[in-house]
Amino acid sequence: MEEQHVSPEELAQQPQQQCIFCHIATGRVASKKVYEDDKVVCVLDINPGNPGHVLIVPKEHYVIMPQIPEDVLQHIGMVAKGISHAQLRALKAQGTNFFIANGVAAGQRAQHFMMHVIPRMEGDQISFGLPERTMSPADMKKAQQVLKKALSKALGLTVEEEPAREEESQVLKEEPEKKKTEKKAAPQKPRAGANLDDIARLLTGGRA
Amino acid sequence: MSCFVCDLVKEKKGLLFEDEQIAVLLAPKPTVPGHVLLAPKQHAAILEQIPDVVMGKLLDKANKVSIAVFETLGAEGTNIIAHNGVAAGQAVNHAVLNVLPRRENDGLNFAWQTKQLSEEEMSTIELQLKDETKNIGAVEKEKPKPKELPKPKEIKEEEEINYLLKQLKRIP
Repeated sequence: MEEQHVSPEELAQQPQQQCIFCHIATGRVASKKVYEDDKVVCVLDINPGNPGHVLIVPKEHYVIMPQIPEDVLQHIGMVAKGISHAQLRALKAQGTNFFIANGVAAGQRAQHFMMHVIPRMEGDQISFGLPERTMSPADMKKAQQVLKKALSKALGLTVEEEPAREEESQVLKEEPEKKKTEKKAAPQKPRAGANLDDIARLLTGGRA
Repeated sequence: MSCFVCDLVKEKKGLLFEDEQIAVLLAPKPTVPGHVLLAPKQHAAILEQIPDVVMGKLLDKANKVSIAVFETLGAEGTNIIAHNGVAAGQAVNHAVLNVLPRRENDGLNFAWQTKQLSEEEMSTIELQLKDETKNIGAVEKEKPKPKELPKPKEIKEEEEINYLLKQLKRIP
């Protein structure tokens, strides 16, 4: 994670100086702060979906979510729950939505990661409805296999089992050594550096 | 009481990852291919019932799911969405986070119409919310305090009284 920060230092700092959310975090731009601690600042959205719409903004400049360290994300999750709770109590909201847009295709506009917590009322014309589609069991199984593997990798777990089982009967004697080296190497790989940079570039429209 | 999500977790249907607290599953009726649900294993009807620590882990794992779909499904973005309460569109009585892989022109649009509030209204809301956010993270810090010290004494006293009473009863 740190690698993405340090390596293009100049590139990383330029957008920060122009980033309005960095200015909000430091207080150089006025905002209505409803919560602040060492990691995040929570401000009222000036163009709210509903009154009381809050943005949780990490103080550090992260363009997209994969750049954010684990502890900061966990902290954001905890704060989001607290903000939701505050909206339910203080604003008599009937419900809340959490919303994160990660990437332009997902509707992200700012070049600074943020999480929306939106208070909801019956009939307020907002919808995060998720239409349901049916997928064939075969497609589901394929998706499960692919994602399970990728998620294990993203979580830094060793990728295991299924292909190994088939091979075991044939190559029991030679394989184990090779596999061990593979497993050790896996967690050290930088997490999808190239892909994430691409996404970040998409976001900045090549400006950075 | 049966719960749709609890059942999925038990059956391990479409399971992608699980640990003691969290299950990551393929949505059985996905909005888009690769639609993933993250659920606390301990049944929680609403988000408020999820412990802070678990809530944090859910979001962190949602990020890992995001990374996984970027890499494998060629997604150009992801949305992470939670519906908390019927008014917010919650459809099952078990709080979950949704991760949706997104592409340009995939037909989904979660944009909302913005509302205009006066400076005064905004300030009022700011104060109202500020009052309630003081407690964020507070519950977490209070947990370790031991509260059980007075109890042993009470039990002893009761035992002593009982003991004396028993003796009294024996006399006649």
